[in-house]
Amino acid sequence: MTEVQKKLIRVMNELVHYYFNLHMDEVFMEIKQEEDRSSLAISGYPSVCEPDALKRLEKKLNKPRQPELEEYYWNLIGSVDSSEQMNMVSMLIDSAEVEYKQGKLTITVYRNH
Amino acid sequence: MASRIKAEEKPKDIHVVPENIKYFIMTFYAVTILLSGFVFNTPAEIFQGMQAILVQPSILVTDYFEVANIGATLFNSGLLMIVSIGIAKWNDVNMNGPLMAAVLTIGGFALFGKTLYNILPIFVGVFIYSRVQKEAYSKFILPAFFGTALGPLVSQVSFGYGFPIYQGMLLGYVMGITAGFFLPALATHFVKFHQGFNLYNIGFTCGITGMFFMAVFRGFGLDHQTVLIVSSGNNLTMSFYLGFLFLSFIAVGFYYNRLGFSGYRRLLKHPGQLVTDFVTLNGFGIAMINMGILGLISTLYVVMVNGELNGPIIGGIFTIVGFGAFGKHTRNVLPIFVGIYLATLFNIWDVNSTGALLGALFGTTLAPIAGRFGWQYGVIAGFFHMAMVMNVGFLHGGMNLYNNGFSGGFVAAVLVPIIIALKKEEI
Repeated sequence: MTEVQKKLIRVMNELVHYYFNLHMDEVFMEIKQEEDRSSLAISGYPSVCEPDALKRLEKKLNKPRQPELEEYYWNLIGSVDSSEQMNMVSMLIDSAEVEYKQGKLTITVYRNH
Repeated sequence: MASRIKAEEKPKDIHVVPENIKYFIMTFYAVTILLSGFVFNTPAEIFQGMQAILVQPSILVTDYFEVANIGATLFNSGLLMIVSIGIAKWNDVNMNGPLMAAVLTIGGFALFGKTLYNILPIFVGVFIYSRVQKEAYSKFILPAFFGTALGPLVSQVSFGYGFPIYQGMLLGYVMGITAGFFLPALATHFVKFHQGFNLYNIGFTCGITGMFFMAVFRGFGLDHQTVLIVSSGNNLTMSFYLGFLFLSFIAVGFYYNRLGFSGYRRLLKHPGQLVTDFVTLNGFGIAMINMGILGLISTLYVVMVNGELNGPIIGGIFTIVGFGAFGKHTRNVLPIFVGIYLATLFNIWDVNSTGALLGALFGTTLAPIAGRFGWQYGVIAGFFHMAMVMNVGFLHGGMNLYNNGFSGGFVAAVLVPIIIALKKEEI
């Protein structure tokens, strides 16, 4: 397994953490590895979603990628249950989309190679 | 069970300060510290002092105020900060919280262990590692900067074991480059050991690395006594010096925080666990204010317990200030101070001894424990840290300047799982 794949697992781990913390009973995941980028998508059905919270989550995930922190601290991602962890996910990804449609919350994150 | 995505506390828009301004401010402070040396000593004295500093073995604890003079020590501190800032700028690294912490940590330890001579091979070792990995040096800049904790490994081998000078220097550089080469991989690995509850992760990594080197040295019959060379009698002058410095941090932060203190309460809510970059999360201005406040409180603690404001102690204060941009704030730092203070009441160490004060200042590496689990656990962590830090120095023979980071790694690794089990939390 490559280091990039290990990092993808960490990011997905953290996203699953997020969904489990929201007590979602059913969670669906999808991982795509392409030549120039990888994408991870996770979805579930929360009972209530506040639009402001989703906007803030999307903003948090779309903070610039930070290579100098990624290389040093990526092993911490997904290992600790903390509200700060989504900030760490943003260190490893280039962009993210948060979508809430017909009761289904989908988070898709992209990492360029 | 019902699931609900709640709106978090709405952060006011963070005032983003351009990178060139942040670089300018950090460079301004580095140059100010360098030039302030000339207030204390003449250029000739500073030149002689720098010569003395460069050939020191520099193992823990060697106060450059004592072996050279205050002027040369401040010159050394400013110089190393300028070099670090220059390397970061050259590699196009953002001046965020971790980098500010790294620069101030280098500046702090340049008062008692880091020199231009002994940090360069660490930088070179990490650079070679980046070339082998075919990655940009910027990706490894934090292990390179924090990894200069192993400076005494280079200086001790070069000047402390009695080798002929050129052979000693060559051997010292080979050791430093070798240690630097392996640091990034080890640092990434060891961070899992304490789950990010020990802010000085490189301190733990360098402790293990130093222990490994020291064990090999002892196998070859090379050993040395630990030292405690510290100065005294500078409290009045250095209190004013630090007071002005940290008040200016607050003033600069106030200006860049839109002439206010808004956001400080929100900053205090972060547990501080790795990786909490206050500059990115809360803004440069409020991070500077936090750094200034921590500097004043730390200085006040030392003065209140009648401690000496010497090189190592001021180094500890600089480091706390640096980590004021990267995880530390009054709410998670003060319980550690209380724990250390209590330990000195019941244990054999005097509260105002340099060792106990270093334990208190650098013991704040465990601040995330207080931030995450509550002040009472921070007090317990501080208490045990005091005992642990006095016992682990022998392992690396003082070669690792971040002895508290080494100790903090063990304390966090033991305490955190126990606290989590008792609180029935998940990790």
